[in-house]
Amino acid sequence: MTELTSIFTATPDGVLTNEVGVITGELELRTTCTDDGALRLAIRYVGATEWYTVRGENYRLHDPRDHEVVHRLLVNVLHRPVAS
Amino acid sequence: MRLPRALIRRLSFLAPLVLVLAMAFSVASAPTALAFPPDVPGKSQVQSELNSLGVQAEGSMDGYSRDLFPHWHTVSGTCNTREEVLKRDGTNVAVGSDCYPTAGSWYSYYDGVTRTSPSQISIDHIVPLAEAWRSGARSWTTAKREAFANDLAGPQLIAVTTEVNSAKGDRDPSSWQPPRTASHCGYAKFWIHTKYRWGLTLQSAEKTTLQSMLNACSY
Repeated sequence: MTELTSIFTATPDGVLTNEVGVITGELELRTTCTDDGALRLAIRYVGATEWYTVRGENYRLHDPRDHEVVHRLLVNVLHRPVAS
Repeated sequence: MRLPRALIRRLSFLAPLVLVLAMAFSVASAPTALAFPPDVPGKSQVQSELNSLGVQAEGSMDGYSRDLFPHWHTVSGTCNTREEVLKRDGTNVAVGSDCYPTAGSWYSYYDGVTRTSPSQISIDHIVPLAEAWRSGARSWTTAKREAFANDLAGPQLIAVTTEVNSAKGDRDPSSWQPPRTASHCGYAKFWIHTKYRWGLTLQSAEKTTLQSMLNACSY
């Protein structure tokens, strides 16, 4: 099993979680992929002690070696730098 | 109901009177819509509360967990806070011995939708727990956070559809407002008064949005 985490800033529209609805701000994405390709997604506020799930936790990759690419793709889609 | 034409002609002189009475009662009265939380002050008081709130950037989410805002706790008998709000905000609510509703309907103030199943209704924390954490509640005791999360005395809890509650999530009024425009005045008042009662801070953009929402208030 491999686990990857990345920190990103959500868009003002946030990310929809199953447990608490939309969350915003500095978030951390964690993806885990088992050897047979089952991919799970979790997300939390940076520094928080609880994780939430996002839709798509039952995705399955044909090849677990694609985990890193999928993770990077998700972060690039979710990340939105804050205008300052 | 259908009235005979002759009767309608005879009563037609009443129409202007009815119109005037209807206007008199609609001016400057707070909405009597169901699901309106308690302790909502008038516009001028809310304005002075908004003026007095501290403005600062949001704090970090370090250490945050919903467990640090214990809810829903038992209020009386078998009834917890969620069930108390379901009774308060619903119409013709009947409950079983466990206090869970067995009948009733709930009008969702944010989106104007009515539901008859309590499983489709969520109790929204008007100032969300995560928003409270980064606006000052991080330094509170857990007991104080529990009181905040179960606050039945002020306008902090409201029964709304699960969908609208999920769509709102942790967002403040600068990035999310209820879809039903007619609820914006009430929503701004609930938000400001709750932050005032609990000594929470505002972000600059949040204050600007709340001010324009309050400006549009007629009551």
